[in-house]
Amino acid sequence: MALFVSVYVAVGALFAVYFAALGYKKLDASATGAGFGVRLLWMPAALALWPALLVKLLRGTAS
Amino acid sequence: MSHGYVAVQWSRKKWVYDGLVWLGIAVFVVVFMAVSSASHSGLEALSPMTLLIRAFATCAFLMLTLILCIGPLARLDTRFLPLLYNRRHFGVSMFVVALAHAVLAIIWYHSFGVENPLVSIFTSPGSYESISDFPFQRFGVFALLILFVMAATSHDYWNANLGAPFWKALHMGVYLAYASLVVHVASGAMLQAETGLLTAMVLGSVLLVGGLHIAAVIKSKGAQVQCEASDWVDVGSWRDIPNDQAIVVQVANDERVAVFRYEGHKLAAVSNVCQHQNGPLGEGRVIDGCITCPWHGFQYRPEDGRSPAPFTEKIATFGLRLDGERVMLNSVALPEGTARPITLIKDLVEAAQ
Repeated sequence: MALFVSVYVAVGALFAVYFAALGYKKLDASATGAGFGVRLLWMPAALALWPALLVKLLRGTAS
Repeated sequence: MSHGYVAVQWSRKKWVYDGLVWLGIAVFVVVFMAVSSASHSGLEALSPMTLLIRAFATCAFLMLTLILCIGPLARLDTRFLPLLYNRRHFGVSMFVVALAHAVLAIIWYHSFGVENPLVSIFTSPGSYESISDFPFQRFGVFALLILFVMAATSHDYWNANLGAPFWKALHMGVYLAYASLVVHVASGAMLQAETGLLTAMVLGSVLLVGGLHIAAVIKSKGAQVQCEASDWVDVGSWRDIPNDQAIVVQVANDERVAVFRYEGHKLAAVSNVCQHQNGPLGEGRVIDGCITCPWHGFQYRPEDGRSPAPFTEKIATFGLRLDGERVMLNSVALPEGTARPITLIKDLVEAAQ
């Protein structure tokens, strides 16, 4: 269990960095140009919900 | 609203609201520590860390109780609406206080062993069948995780991109968090408490939250006008609609329509569902000429159901006509953002004065 949580959080942390840098505008084009502060604010949610967001991003890319 | 994203759309009201919340937290923690310290002297004296952990815990629990009361209170009495407008900030502040409690408790009670403090919460002995040995910490962690996800997704960006139904379902988790916290307190601190104060607080909280929710449901069921399947339905006299407010009508297909009176002599009907987070527009007011959602202040023009520029949200509108003093609603929704003639009742209002 501890290993699963560690891996989930570690992957989530990496994903959150990617999301704050690039992923946020792929998910929502109207967010392009959002400031650094607000993207920082989005990182905890990206960390927590990364599997759902990854699926959304991949579906978006596929379509 | 959806035009660009900023961290917080600050306004004077939000500054005042947040200022009062944090002032309240600071005063509560200081008073709690002072009173607890004074009532535990000599051999029973508590360390400052223990006092701080208890102060944060009590503060967070009471804040969550208040947060859960705001919604039904605003439905029961519109004077509570100002509390609703910035409830999101109240919620995030409550999470920060709960997090402070958790961090200090983990440091104080779990970090002096050989095991990872976070792991030790889940591996320390405990039995779900024993009252005295109940692993209450796990319920606290579970509640904190829910509150974290709620705080982390509280920004409009997540509402827009996770989808309103998923977002709302996620945030309904607050009731699960509350139930988990009640178990956390009842099976932990409450069993060790020397007085009945904590028991009274938890019981009072449960009764208050449950009672207010039941009262709000009863009131909203009584207030809604139920309509038969028909294009034009009688929603009542214009006199029943308070100025700058609405009555809510449930039409045959379960759709809810808010019929507003504003500027004293104008009537307009729109969908009761806010585009933002499905908030109940009919419980809001007309502010600065716009229908304003009681949840987060999203606004729509009564005449066409469109948000004022530069925002782009739209809601369905409905036709109205008068039959003497009776307001007749066309229950067929017009496409979102459709302008239609505003029903004027100036003559009726003047005759009534």
